[in-house]
Amino acid sequence: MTVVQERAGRYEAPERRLVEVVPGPRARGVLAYVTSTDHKQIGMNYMVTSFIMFLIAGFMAVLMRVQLSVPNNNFVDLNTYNQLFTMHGSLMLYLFLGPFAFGMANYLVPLQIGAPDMAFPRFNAFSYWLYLGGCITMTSGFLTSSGAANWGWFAYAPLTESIYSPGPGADLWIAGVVLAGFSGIFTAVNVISTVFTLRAPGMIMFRMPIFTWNQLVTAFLVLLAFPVLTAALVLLWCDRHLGTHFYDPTHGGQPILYQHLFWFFGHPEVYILALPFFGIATEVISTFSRKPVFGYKGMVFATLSIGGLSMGVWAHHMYTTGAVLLPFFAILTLLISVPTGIKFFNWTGTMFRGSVRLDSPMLFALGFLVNFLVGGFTGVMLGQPPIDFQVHDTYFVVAHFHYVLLGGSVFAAFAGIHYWFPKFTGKKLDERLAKLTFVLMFIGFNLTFFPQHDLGLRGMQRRIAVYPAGQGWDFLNMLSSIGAFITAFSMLPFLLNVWVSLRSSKKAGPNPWDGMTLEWAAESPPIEHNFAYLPPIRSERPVWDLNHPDHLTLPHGRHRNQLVTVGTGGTAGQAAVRAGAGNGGGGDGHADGGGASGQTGGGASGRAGGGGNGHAAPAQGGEGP
Amino acid sequence: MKFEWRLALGTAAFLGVAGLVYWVWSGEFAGTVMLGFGGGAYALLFGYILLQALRRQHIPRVEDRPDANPEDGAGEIHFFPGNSIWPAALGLGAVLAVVGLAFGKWFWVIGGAILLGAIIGFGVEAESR
Amino acid sequence: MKHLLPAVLAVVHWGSPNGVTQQSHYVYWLWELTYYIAVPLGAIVIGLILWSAVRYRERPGHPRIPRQFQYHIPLEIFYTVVPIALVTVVFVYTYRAEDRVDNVAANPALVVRVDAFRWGWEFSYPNGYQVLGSVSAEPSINSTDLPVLTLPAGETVQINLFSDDVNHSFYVPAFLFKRDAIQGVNNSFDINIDPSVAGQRFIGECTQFCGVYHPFMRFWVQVMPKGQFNTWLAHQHGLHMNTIGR
Ligand code: HEM
Ligand SMILES: [Cu+2]
Ligand SMILES: [Cu+2]
Repeated sequence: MTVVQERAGRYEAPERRLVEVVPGPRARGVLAYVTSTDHKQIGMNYMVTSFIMFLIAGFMAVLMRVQLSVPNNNFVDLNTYNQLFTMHGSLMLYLFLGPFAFGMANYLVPLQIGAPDMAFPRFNAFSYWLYLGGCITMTSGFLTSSGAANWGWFAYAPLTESIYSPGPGADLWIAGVVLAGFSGIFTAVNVISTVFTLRAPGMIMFRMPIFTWNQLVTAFLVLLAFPVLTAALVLLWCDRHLGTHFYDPTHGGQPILYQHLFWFFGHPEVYILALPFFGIATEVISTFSRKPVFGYKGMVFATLSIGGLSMGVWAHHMYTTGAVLLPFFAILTLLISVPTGIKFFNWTGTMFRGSVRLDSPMLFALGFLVNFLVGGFTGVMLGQPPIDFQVHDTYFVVAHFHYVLLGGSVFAAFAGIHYWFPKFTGKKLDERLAKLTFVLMFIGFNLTFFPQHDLGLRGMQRRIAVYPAGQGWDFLNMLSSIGAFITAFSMLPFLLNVWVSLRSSKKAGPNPWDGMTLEWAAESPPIEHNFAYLPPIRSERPVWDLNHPDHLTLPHGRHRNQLVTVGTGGTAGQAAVRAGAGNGGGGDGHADGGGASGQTGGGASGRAGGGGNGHAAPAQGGEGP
Repeated sequence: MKFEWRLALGTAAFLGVAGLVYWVWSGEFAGTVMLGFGGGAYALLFGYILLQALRRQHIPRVEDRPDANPEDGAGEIHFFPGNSIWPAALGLGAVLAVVGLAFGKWFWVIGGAILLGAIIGFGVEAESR
Repeated sequence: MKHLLPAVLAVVHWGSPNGVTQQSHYVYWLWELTYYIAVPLGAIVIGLILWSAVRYRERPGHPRIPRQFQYHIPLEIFYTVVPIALVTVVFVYTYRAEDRVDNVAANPALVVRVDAFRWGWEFSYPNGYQVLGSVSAEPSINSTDLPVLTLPAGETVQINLFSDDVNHSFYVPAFLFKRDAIQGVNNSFDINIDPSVAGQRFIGECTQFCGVYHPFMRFWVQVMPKGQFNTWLAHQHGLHMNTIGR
């Protein structure tokens, strides 16, 4: 079936704006899944597959924590432990967190900018299949006689040369990462093209939601980082099989070269695993505070500078090699904390004087803020070379990156899942089970990883399967393992919740949270090619403008002149369907009261206040209750 | 498209300057080369977008006009293909070929054959959209 | 007030780790500085976040639309400039500490060559004395029979670090310091152990994952008083071998 799409002249018109040019037979069932080129289907595929990877890798984590719960334990043998931490880390980073973010991008970026699909739908489907192949390839290492790769997620040469690590498990790991890497590159190409060419009329760059912005910057990083990784691994493969000596010091190769190549990918990668989730948190915090993102433009520039700086700090992972230029990398690393700090103040400012609804997505977002702050501070510590000399490759680092990745990104991912679940499925998740999930996860997570800071300061190195008793490590390790069990247990209410909610008959409606961005103007789940009509786009939150014409974003310096309203007014749930008032508010100097073109009734002509002043809102502002 | 090309130009410039400073200060090769090539890649992107922007200088796109309404974008947007088996076939071939990194020749032969078939199928489908 | 600040500074140590070498004390001060900035800043930010969330929470069933303000330029400039200032301070002190920690003296009192290999250590002294410890076939992690790196207190010791195979890392927690052993990279660093810990023994570890017996690559650092060390070394000859973790 081939579809050419047109935009309807009037968004208030109820008729669909799709024009099918060449109708053909529609695939059903499994075939629909295999042949789909719909960004929503592909996005779901990514998210579900990567979540399964998360569960598998989490199971490995629990096995590791059992092994480490007491000193000198024999639960798994040394080699098995090494495979476990390697595959845990690799699955979490290459096959869960990144691809989960790509899934979110696939599903939401077109919706948020009012596009019918991604720019290259078939290419998009292709990249999902590469990713799935990568998942199968990498995990199948466990089935080979010599086991899976066992060298840590960054695979330092020369340990990975064939004399030290023979066997196909290692090569399967390389193949898996290469496949996942290509899938990432293709997704990035797609995201950039979509954002650059398929935005809806009026959706100028500075009206894109922060989530889309962050996905765009992420895509820029992917394009820089993943090709380097692929190259590094291909060279490694040549060393292993073709007798080259790129990293083999006995024949003039340079092990340090591998580290440079890997971390030139590796540091942007950690921001690839963070920025999309910052975006999710931003959307959630804004919606659940019923306020626009505080300092929207500042936040966009903060994201851009994080993206830029993160390209120049790779060697802060190599401080202890004694072979890198410490001050260069130290200053750039420390500077990253400035835009990150700005984001924190933006988030706080968004909640400040808002109307904060503590629903489950917001709870996860708050959990994200608290955990990520801790991870951010330990990050600044690690950025200082002398401190890094002490704690590098100890449990302090393990604690740090779990605070960032699990406490930060994964909490934000859960915020996103709870927030967009109604959009994805048409059903809302049960709030009580969701809150139980949050509480268990928050307590379990902090119990697992907070003690590990201290373990690191007490000299416990990472990647050890056994440790001796009597070094003051025993109690903290036990605590950490108990926490790991609680964290793992928190997945049960979540999975139960998904199961129960999917089977319930309650419909969520298009806009259950009083959301602000374009995806909430689409149906839940959105129809094929997404929108039957679009609201006028005059700010970065068109759906809010439509539903709350009396509460448009205030222009600079007019904070005091808006009424605080009790009650949301309008019909938040369905209001998106209504033709509403668009007008030139939205922090954009150009808006001239909404295009004066010939629309009939409602629509953008509803309120033609000039010059970005919005409408003549009542000037006597009361403080909120 | 003003912001699009600025974004690419900014990235390219940042990488270029960082590469230069890094080279002068550290004299280390690997990082300099990577920063340089990264800058070059984004310069290409910048050039491409700039050309596009210059070509349509006088008719800003609806998505770049702050006052555009949805109906201003009426008309054909883009071609969106329907269901297609070729991406999956292409994927299968590519995955088998890459698995050959671990298991050698036979995977390359089979994967390569599927890949070739899928490319042809894809091409034929794309031609006759 | 005049006495309060130093008093607080002297009492509140935030549990900053401290070590037993001159170099490690710079690291200690860096921790202190970082804590003094990070703890109050963190408390303020977390406080603001939680306070905003609680103070402005909406009671279920009582929706309310707040004022829709979005920009406050002076505030935004403020929270951009202050972090930049803080980061500059931290960087200056980091740079100074790093200079001291990494400084290699022109004529150290003693130079020891350390070789890391799968799996064990070799310590070579200038007079030809060598200690070589390697992991036995079935090692036990609780064993204390580890190779011993004997060092004098109160003197500048230079360590030249090498790897014979894959990457390793020489780490002594009590020195608050580690350095990787990588083929193709020549690494040297100085340590200057405090005389006050003469006679004590500290654990050392390998921190760069190097294969199955990575957890067993441990060693002792035995600190001797300066005078005693020289007479001790004069009586050591040839190769001393031991097996790690029997
Ligand atoms: C219940 C949750 C989790 C637990 C209990 C857990 C536990 C662990 C443990 C025990 C290790 C091995 C440490 C070592 O031996 O050095 C580890 C390593 C690691 N974890 Fe997790 N983890 C969890 C979740 C996550 C998540 C969500 C991510 C990322 C998204 C993640 C990323 C990593 C990485 C990258 C490593 C390093 C692997 C390596 O050393 O190569 N973990 N984790
Ligand atoms: Cu990094
Ligand atoms: Cu080692």
